[in-house]
Amino acid sequence: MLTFPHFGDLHLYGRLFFRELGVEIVTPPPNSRRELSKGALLAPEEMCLPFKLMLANLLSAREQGADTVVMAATMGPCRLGEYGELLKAILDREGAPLRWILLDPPRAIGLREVLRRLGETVEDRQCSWIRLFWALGGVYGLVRSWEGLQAAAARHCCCEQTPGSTGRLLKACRRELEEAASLRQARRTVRRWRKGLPRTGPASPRPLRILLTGEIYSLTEPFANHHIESFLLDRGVCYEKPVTLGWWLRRTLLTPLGGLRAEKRKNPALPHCIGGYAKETVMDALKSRKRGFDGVIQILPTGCMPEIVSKAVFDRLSGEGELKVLTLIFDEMDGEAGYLTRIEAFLDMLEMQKKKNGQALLSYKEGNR
Amino acid sequence: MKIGVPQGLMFFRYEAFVREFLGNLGADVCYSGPSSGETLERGTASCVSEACLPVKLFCGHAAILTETGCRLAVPRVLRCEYGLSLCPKLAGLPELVKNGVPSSAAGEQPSENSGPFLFSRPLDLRDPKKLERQLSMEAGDIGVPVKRLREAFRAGLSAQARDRSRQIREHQYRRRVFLAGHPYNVHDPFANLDLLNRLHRLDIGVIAGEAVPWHEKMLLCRSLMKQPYWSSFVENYGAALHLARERAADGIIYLSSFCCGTDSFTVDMIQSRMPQLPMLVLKLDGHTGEAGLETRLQAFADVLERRGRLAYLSPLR
Repeated sequence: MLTFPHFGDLHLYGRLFFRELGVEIVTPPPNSRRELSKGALLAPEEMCLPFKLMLANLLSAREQGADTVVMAATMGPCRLGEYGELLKAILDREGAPLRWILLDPPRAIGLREVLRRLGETVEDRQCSWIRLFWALGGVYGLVRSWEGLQAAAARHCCCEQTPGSTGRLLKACRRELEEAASLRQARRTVRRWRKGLPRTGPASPRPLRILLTGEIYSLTEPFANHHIESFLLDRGVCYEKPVTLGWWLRRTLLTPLGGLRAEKRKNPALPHCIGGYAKETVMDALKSRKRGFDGVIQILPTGCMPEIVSKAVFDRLSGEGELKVLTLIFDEMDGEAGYLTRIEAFLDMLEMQKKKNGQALLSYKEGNR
Repeated sequence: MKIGVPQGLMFFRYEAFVREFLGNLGADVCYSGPSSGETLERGTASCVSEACLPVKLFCGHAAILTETGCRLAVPRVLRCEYGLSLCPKLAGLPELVKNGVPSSAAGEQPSENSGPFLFSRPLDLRDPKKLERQLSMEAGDIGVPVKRLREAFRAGLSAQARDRSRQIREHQYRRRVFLAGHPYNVHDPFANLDLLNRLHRLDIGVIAGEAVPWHEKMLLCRSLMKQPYWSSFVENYGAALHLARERAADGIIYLSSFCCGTDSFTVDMIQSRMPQLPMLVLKLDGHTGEAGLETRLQAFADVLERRGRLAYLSPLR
């Protein structure tokens, strides 16, 4: 039976996709404090947070009967590409061996090998190739519409009538998606909830707009960022999160030259790809000011190598007064109060600044409505 | 123009090349000298706080050099000579250093597209021809003819190929350990609190990873599920496996810096592959308290001694 570690809403899509194919999969239990301590017990101390969570996911999945793991991997220089190797070593040592299907980029192992491994993933399916491709297209459609719904909610949460209603709507929709019987039903669900979003103009005259950026796993997995998104939603702060699962799919799989294009793109503050998505992080933040954002929140797990470089860039830029950046570094500590206080203080500071030079910012708002 | 060379990070690996290359250029070169307490202090003040000790030391060297009015050489090394990646922090080193050094102090007015530092265009050491091209783009900035730069480059390459100073293999001591870790931790006596001499006092000799030929190390990494992409991983994991197979080392001392990304992975891979070999992991974080280190080394020496005696008595030997 197939399994895969949690990565944001990947388990939603994975469950529906493999159900369409007739392949049985095991979804590991959702990330929680208990799961994390299970992973942190066995993982090397200085490994980053995503690794510890993934280790716990795989251990739990194995207890539930999984025997094969599918995981996407990169060719460095960030640690994420070597996760598979170390996960395998630790699971073997703990007497819980699994079969591994590592989806490396074609650049490293050749296109033929990639296709072979992809074929291995779906080898015990009970449907035709045509149906497989149909399902792939359907899943991608679901990814787009569900992420579109989330992005729209993040844009409109400042104009909700009753506080917290947008957050509740997203939660209800996610719950329905988790129980959806088929891809078609899931897409219909998303479409229905989309209509429930408020479409009126903003209640407060100048809503705060925040850019969420940073390391991709911490951004997509709510447990790894202490549910920062629902916190912002409930406070009625508009935000945008450019780095999502769908963004990653578009960049790496759907546009084969995406990586090349990213290398070519000009970025004065961090001119070269250094691994991970540090260059994109910095670029989004640089553009955010022009696009009318008030501040940037950068999220990374402790010891994340590429994001430390982008933090250095942010430190310099905010020292020069070009950007307002709050960097949140997450590790296994689960005391939330400290983080929330810092985010609230940051938001208060932005609000105050906004009031101070409010007139100048009005023009930005017009352009973005 | 004066070129300032911070003696940190990859300088320890490519010292022979750098000295020969810059010496033959005919430009005025100023080295920052070995690390010291002042370097660390200045580095901690100017560097992003999450960075590891070697990066902070490098920033310290850079901060001290900028005061002398040099133009800093801050290389951006993307790949090592065998085509493998280094740490992302080394690829983003110019950005990390720029953060701490005020741009007005970074030497003379930089030209249009090269930034405030020398040699911070991406360097790929795998292909000497390509590297030569990348380096000769800087000729105009330094103010030397391209031809002379190319000659100096060739001299530098052959000096690097001749250099054997880091291939340490000491046989004159009672016990031998494999001293693993990045070259900038192993060969910097300030960062590792003079570890080599401490070990010698305990009658322990050292074998460095560079003493094992590269192809042997690569060969031993074949058994992995995925070809590794970090040079430091192959360097340490491959060498540990090779030395254990040869029975050349009685134990492993892994010199790692606090929060090092590649080491957190490598240490555990070595441990899970060779649980039978005693291994001591030392984390360097800029503390200068020596008593704790000394105690741990003595305890490790005792372990080696005891195991050595047991192995001698064992009939399975």
